[in-house]
Amino acid sequence: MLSVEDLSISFGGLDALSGLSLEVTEREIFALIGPNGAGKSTVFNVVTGLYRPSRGRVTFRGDDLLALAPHEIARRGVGRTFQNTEVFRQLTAIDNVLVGRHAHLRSGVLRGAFGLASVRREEAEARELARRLLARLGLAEVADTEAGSLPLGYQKRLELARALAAEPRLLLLDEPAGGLNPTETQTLMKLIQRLRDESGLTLLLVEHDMELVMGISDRVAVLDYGRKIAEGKPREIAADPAVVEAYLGSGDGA
Amino acid sequence: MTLRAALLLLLTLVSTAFPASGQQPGVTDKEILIGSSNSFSGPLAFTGEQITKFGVDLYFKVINDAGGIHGRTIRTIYYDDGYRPQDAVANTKKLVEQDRIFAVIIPQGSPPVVATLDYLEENKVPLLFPYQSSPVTRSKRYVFQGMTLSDRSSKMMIDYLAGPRKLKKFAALYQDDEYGKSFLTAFEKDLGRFGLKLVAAESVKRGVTDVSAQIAKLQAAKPQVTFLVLVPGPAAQALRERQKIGWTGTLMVSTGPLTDERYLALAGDAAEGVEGLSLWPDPLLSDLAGVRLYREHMQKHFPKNEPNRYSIAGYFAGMLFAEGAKRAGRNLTRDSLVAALESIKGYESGILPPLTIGADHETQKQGFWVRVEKGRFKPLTDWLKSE
Amino acid sequence: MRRAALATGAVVVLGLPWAVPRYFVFLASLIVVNSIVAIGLNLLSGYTNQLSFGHAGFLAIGAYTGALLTIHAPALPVPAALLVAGLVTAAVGLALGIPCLRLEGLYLAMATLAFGFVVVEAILNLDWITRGNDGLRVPAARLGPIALATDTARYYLTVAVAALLILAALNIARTRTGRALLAVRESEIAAQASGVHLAAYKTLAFVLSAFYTGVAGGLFALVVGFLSPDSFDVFLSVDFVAMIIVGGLGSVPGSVLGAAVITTLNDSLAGFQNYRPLIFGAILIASMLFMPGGIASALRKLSVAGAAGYPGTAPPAAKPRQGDDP
Repeated sequence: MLSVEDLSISFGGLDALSGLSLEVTEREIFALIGPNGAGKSTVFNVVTGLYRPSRGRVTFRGDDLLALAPHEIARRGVGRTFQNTEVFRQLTAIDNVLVGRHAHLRSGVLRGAFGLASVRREEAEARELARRLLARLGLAEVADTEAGSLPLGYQKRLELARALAAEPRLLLLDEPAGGLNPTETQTLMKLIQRLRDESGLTLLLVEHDMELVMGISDRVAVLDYGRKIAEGKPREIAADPAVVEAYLGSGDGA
Repeated sequence: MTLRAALLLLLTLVSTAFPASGQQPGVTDKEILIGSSNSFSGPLAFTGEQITKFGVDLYFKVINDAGGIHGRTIRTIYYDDGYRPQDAVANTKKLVEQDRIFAVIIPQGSPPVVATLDYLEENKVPLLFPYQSSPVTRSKRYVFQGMTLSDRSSKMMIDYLAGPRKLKKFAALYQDDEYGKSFLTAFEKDLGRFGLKLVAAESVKRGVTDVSAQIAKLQAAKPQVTFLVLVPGPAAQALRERQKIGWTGTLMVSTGPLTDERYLALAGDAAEGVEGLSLWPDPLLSDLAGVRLYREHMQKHFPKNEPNRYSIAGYFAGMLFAEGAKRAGRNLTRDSLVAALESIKGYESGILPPLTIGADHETQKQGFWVRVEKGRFKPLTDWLKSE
Repeated sequence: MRRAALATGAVVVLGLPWAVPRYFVFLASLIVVNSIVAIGLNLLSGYTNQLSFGHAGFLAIGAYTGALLTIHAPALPVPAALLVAGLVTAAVGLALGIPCLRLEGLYLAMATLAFGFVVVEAILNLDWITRGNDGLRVPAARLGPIALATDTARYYLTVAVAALLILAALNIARTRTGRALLAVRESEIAAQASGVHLAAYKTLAFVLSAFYTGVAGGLFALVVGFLSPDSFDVFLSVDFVAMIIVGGLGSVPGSVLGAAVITTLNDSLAGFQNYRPLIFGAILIASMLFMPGGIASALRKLSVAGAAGYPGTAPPAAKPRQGDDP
């Protein structure tokens, strides 16, 4: 479904990724792990069109993603969340979700300005859907609260709700459990599994929480200094000496 | 509800802040109120302040100290428009409708003045002695001209230079606006009477100070006389540029609005030998009785403000208004003021030659010829006439 | 409650010419015209964080377009002339918006500032039609058989146009387009990840902003009755920026309040002559220090219930950032 081939990119002479290849198949939960600075978020930023690699190919369901602008990639069904949450801070929670719905709505500036009946109908439907999504993620009570004033855990869920509003096929989650307590992490794990099982999503995640990674991933790839040093099922990865070395070497056990 | 309360309060304030209307706006038993929108910020702020506070108001201080006019003192009110026409419109409407002034006195600059022209005429508010030289303000019932208008200046300049001075090749460096173009049109018409034409004319955009290209082109046309129809900054620049390239074969002549000490100060020794039409006697050196009095008054009321052509123009405007109001008598109305000003004949100001204002409403129709010698204007002729 | 306030407001606005002296009718018309500009500028600066110091230029384009139509096509009804003024200005907004996509912050401010100067130069150079520095007298416009020759008639025209434009702005603000614009302001990367076409919306903000300012320009020409390049100096652009900062970035009601405050302030300070810029500056600084979110947000804090608010009524706050993982 998502195919990354021989991807290389460098920033200021430092190779952030070199010759990275990944293959994510449909309805799979695929985790990317590795020490800080290993290039995990860079993969996300290349896939979603924010960075242009110096070499390599990225295809999603047959489309060459490197030829597309970020919003076009989003419209083809690639959604994402961010490592440092990027909610629209001064918009209410529900408006955040409605922005997520952007690509599915039709009303343009002129029809919007005249407040036509069709626009009002579309808005009402979108609001209904947004409320359902917020409720599903336990955010019903804060629907009309400014996103920036919500606690971090809420913001993380709100980002997820916003991403889901676009009805993506592939969802990239950048450290979804970062800053969450163990109970919240448990809920998140269940949610991710349900998204795959019930909604048929494919998920690519970057995560430091090994319990989550080992608990729900179908496959795991390990990055270190921009290179893939291992790939396989969670059990195989946990036993891989190269992985242990990379983690111990960086002093970041997570 | 707070909104409603606030708005009601606002409305009440607004309507009570407004004085009840009298019979004749701006005239009470004790006082005459006049004013104008003027430049107190922007490019002509210095001029604006001099003509009003140190000019008009200076004369009114003298008049008021002596008991006013028919028992009424004169009070003035000015608003800043920064040379922006829309602000001049707003200010003028405010003066007329809210402050209820009797007349507008010496507003400055063609764009702000023209913007208010129709409004004042429709409302029959006298527009007295606007400080601008374009003839666009002519032929209005309630407008009296101030500065000698450009076509009259042009006639005097050409008559003198092509007449007694017997010069034949003329060129002009003019500002690309109403001021510059009104002179250009007049020059061409007046030269035509002598069977002559401008051999070259170069324009300068307002606000531009680099005039080297224009000076080079003018030099190539070899004129005997080059008219400068500019404001002090670029005019001084033109003189310095001429000095720099060593172009001595032409006589530089400044128009009335330009012939002032500020422009000389800016040009320094590059101004030596420049000639021009002067609309006012030298405010610092003239021995005329009226100018001496003006200096005494300035010394008394504003000792720190050096006498200059702008304040003397405002002082003269105040003097003319006072004369009109005096002649109109105790029953002062806008129409009686207009009639009174029209009746002025042979009035001795001691500053300008005896003044007669006729149906043409023009208060200045003369100038005299000067040459710059050692940094001052030296008179070369007596008053020249434009009639 | 809200309905009652709106009704009261409508009565006050419509009854104003009969309750106050003529001069205030003129001043109120200027406030309404400036409100439209402030809303337009807010669509750009408040909604997408693109600060413009060139809106006097847009106003000039609309004003000259409207004035020239009134002079040369007197049969054209006023609404049509205003619409054309808005559309012509919007086209210029499009042409300016595209190159400005690459610019941010100070550089964008400089580019828009330069635009303002270019417009004034263009008016001077097109003097065969604009009459350059001599200025253009604008005759009274006609609405069918009625000549809009009085301050009151012009006031009602500006109020009617402003009401339509305010309604449209509020509608845009609370539907897809408004949310997308705000999203761009809040986080460009997250907006893109939600499928928002960044360049299109930033350009749209320019076009919308120019349209509003252009229509306001057409009204300006009719209300003032005289145009010259001196009317559209950089200080006017600064006044517009002051309006949205004092009123509240990203707020339609704030734009109207800001326009009212700055216009009235300018008017009442005209009597202070040389001290005007000084006092004006001091008041601006004080209001920024003590009301950082503008009047709109200060009012909202005072009475949460009464505010006609929608998202994004305060300027964007600095986001706390942790170290990125590239």
